[in-house]
Amino acid sequence: MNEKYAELITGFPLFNGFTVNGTKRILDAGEVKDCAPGDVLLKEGDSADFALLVLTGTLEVFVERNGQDLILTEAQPGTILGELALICGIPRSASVRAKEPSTVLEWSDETLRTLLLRDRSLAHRIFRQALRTLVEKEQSLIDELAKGQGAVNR
Amino acid sequence: MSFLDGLIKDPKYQDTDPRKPEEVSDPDLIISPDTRRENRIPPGQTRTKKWPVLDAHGAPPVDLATWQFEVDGLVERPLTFSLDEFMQLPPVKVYSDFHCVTRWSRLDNVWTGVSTSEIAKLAGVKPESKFVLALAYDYGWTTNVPIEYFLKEDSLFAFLHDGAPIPPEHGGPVRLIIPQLYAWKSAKWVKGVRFLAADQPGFWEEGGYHMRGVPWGPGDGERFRWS
Repeated sequence: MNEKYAELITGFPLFNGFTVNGTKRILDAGEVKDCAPGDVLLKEGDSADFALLVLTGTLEVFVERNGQDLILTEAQPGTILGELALICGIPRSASVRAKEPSTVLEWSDETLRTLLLRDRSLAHRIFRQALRTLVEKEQSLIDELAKGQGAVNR
Repeated sequence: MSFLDGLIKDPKYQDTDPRKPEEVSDPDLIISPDTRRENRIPPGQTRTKKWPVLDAHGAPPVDLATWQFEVDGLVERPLTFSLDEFMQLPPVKVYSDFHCVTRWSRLDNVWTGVSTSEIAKLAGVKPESKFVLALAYDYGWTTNVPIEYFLKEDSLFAFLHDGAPIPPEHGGPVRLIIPQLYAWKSAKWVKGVRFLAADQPGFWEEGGYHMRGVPWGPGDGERFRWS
């Protein structure tokens, strides 16, 4: 089954320059999982012992507040999810569920750490993607705060 | 050095400036041409005085009694050597620098081993052979090298580093050394070479690392295929 995705993910920016054998090795290091719409893959507050790479489909990142789901973003193929909780050793900051039939690659804590330690180039790209996401989140928070501040000042 | 110093101090730590090639007084030494550069540190690299350990899988178990070195592919005479047979081949000594793609360079190394061109001569490499795939004992690890770099005068299969056997973590009993390319091309725990007509990506090359890997620019050196 991994051969099917090995070709596909050579097109992800994360694996730019990889050959099919190279991406197959990445796939073989983890576990490919199919999920149906509504399947919850990560749960806010849970301890983190794996990360996900979206292979196909769309996942929703959300938190539950006051009994309602608040959708934070949608994750498309090529996105890594749950890696920060793993790296930082903190609980999941949000939940993730499939919005449509999707496929993910699950990397165990040990597998991700091994990838990060052994392949400096891939580590660089994974950290860059994770930090960019964080900075974007921070920027949007600042924008929200500025809007709120504006409302107060008026 | 006391026994305790030996435990605390890294015996491979370089606490002096690197020698210039002309200061290395050994007439039989092959001098790697990059050591004659005015600035021996390639772009984007920093000198380390240590000898860091970096590899894909960690040191594999290698049984010296059954160790074999195989030469195959586009050759007139495929060869197999035991460790004893390999060590009886005429030795060469090379003075060279060592540049890791993870941005450290260790200068001033003396390697002793068997010249790559000696192996090529013994096997009778066919003229259509343009690339070499080095195979290693660590779980199918390979790396690809253009034959002109494999056959450079300073390329060798080394079994001594600075006069001492190469420790397992650094690729012993025998490792390839190609001083003119980034050091991931210098396969640790080498178990053979295959001569090929067409280039074939090895382990890291399948992960986007450069097919050639020359450290000296243009720009930042030939690190990745995507840079």
